[in-house]
Amino acid sequence: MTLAEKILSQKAGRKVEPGEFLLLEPDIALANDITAPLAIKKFKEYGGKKVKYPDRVVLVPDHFTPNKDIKSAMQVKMMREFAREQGIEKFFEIGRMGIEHVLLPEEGIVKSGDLVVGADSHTCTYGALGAFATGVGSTDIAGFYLIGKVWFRVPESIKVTLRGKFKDLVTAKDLVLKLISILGVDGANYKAIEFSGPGVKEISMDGRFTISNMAIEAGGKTGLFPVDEITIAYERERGIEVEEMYPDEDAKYVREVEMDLSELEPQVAYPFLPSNAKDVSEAEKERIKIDQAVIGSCTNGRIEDLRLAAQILKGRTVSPDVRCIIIPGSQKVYKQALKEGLIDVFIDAGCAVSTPTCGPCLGGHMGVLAEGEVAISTTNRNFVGRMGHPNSKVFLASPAVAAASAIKGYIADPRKL
Amino acid sequence: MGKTLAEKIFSEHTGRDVKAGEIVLARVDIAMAQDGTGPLMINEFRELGFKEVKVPKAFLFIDHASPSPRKELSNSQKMMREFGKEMGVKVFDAGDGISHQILAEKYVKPGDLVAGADSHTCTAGGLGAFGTGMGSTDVAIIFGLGQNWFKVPESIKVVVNGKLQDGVYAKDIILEIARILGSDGATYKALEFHGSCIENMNVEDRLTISNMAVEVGAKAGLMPSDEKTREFLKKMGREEDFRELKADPDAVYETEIEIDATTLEPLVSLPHYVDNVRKVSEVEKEKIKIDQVFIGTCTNGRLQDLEIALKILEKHGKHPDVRLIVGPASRKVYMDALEKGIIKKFVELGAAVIPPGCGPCVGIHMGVLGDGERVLSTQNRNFKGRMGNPNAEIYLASPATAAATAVTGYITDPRRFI
Repeated sequence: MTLAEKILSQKAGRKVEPGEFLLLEPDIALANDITAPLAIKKFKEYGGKKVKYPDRVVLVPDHFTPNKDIKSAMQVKMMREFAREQGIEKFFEIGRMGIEHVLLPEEGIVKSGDLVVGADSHTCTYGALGAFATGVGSTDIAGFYLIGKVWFRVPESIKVTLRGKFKDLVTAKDLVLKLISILGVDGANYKAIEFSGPGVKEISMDGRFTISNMAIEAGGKTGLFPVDEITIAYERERGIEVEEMYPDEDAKYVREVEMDLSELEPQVAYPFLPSNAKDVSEAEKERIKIDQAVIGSCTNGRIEDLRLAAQILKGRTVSPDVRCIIIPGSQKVYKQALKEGLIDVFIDAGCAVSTPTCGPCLGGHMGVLAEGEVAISTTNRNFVGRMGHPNSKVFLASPAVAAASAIKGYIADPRKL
Repeated sequence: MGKTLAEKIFSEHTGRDVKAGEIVLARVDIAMAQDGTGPLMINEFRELGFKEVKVPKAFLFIDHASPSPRKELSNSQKMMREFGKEMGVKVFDAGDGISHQILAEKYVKPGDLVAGADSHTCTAGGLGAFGTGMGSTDVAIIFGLGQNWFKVPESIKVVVNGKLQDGVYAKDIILEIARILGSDGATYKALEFHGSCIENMNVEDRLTISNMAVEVGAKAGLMPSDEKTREFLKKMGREEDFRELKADPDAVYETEIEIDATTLEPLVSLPHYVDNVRKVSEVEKEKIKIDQVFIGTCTNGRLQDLEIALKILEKHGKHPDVRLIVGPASRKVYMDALEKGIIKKFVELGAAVIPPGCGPCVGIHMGVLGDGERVLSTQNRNFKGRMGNPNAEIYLASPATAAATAVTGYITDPRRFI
């Protein structure tokens, strides 16, 4: 069995096959300040009075918080009241709040082997822990509130075999951008992407989250890593004991891709698709002027990402023509960055540091682009208008490339600084 | 006959002795606009056919919606940056902080005439400069000509004597002034501060008081420039900008009010008017539940404000139902707070620390309230809808009262936590 089949079989209590439809009880159902209000409304419309499993419900107001307008304030208020009324303890108020997909693993809410649904497409992030985690609609979440169940189709899997080691300043982000350029944005539609091979142990948990996070950008239902000693150590820090989990040797895949980490270069995904990746050395030649650099998000807002950005920015200054916005993914990440002096480095370099939020990634707030502006961002999407004006452009890259570009004022190779 | 501070400053800027009531053409030292008013100012500047900026120090601040929350605002900000480049005007951008704080840290000198397309430009009075808010068109004219017309204001002498009790601060003094004068009690007049309490006060506190002069309608809130001013300028690395500047002993004032600092209690301004001021000790009995506490702004977002609030919160912890938002007023305040470990402690306490800017105070982003919610803020205005929602209530108080309220969840007298 593949990892996806293993997890779903375990939840179903029998061996399942790709293509089967299942009605299962997820361990966790997540919603945020955009999707939760819709789910709550639907729940009430369906006649819902009492949430079936309040201890499995997670509500994270992260997209427009601290609230940017009345509408968003009312949405969060609705979540807050619903949490109080239903006895949902996992409502994360600002101050405790982080970007959902950074927060849930960090808090030990999601663990290896779990089945997780989230009314947010990047719920696939938890695949890094070996959890079958996938984005669903708000109405699916409403259904879960009501009956504690959600239907699934067992997906086929694509096997990505990794070998080799990253070269200096090449990161998990570069790997996943390259992979999406190989698969295409619809190359993994309704399939699970499964990572294996000796290269897996070269990738830290933070790196794995970055990779799994972007599985959806190739259409993947989820992006699964095996549960190995790195996962076990991460879980143990949170007081969770899990067992190793690998796919069976005779597991069947619909496609296999091989990637050598040592052959990778830093990547830049051009507008308007995450699959438009090019080597940064090529991009640098074009002297693409940028107005804004964003370092953060559920893709790259973890401590290793900030460390990498600080390594590049330390003792250097952001170009006077660039706004560089740094957004720690959670309060814990923020605290750790403060402790390590990374925030000092950022402020000294001329960056604006924000409280955790999804903010500019989805054009929500905290750095919306004007007409004709160009941003380099460590986020996961560069669709038309994603970060603001429909006539603005977003290039996706690693924190190293984003930081180097912020310094130079154009898309730049961090290895040449 | 002697001169008030306002008369002195206008005399210097017109090249002749002027008196209250005169309409004068005066040269301006510092002019500025922010991202709310800057785009209007720039359009006027262009429509009036100006080709270059003539005011000695001109600045544009992107502080109200920063980093931008909407593409329309992003477009206006882009236009400001382009204008700044074209005209050689420095633009302070996302992360730099609030205009009035940056001006106080880097540029304002005692005796300066400062005009800004922002009502709280009167903050500069804390350094003995005549700072006043004007319309975007007026500021466009100043950008183009380096001067504008002013009416030399009458002055109200505000004498504050004695020593403040523990737990009572500069913010409480200005709220007391608002209570006495009312929100239009000083319309088109200058407040001029005197007395032993003012003399012993540092410039940071004076900035808090001057900042709110406009809340009683005043054109400016003028502090003497004295050794405290020298200390501040020295700390900012520009002691050479210091000069002593005080009103003449025989200056003529329209009225005079006296405040005894020793009897002053912590005060709170209730919705929806700044002059709706009551004692916190009385309001506390009503157990008014607060959903959000905001510590920051051009009124009370300086290092000492954060320190005072942290001291209380560190000892007593934050109430789980209160959202605490902390906004350092400038990059320098943020840096200093980082160095002192203040930011880390706030983050540990469960505060959301936002980048320096005006955001929540003006209801643009980073803390807009839901219907029926209540906020206690260290800012300067609590008009209906000010923080983005007309169906919310805003209470104004000092950072200490804000912190005590964040501890208990309802409006609380800070004296029992000190």
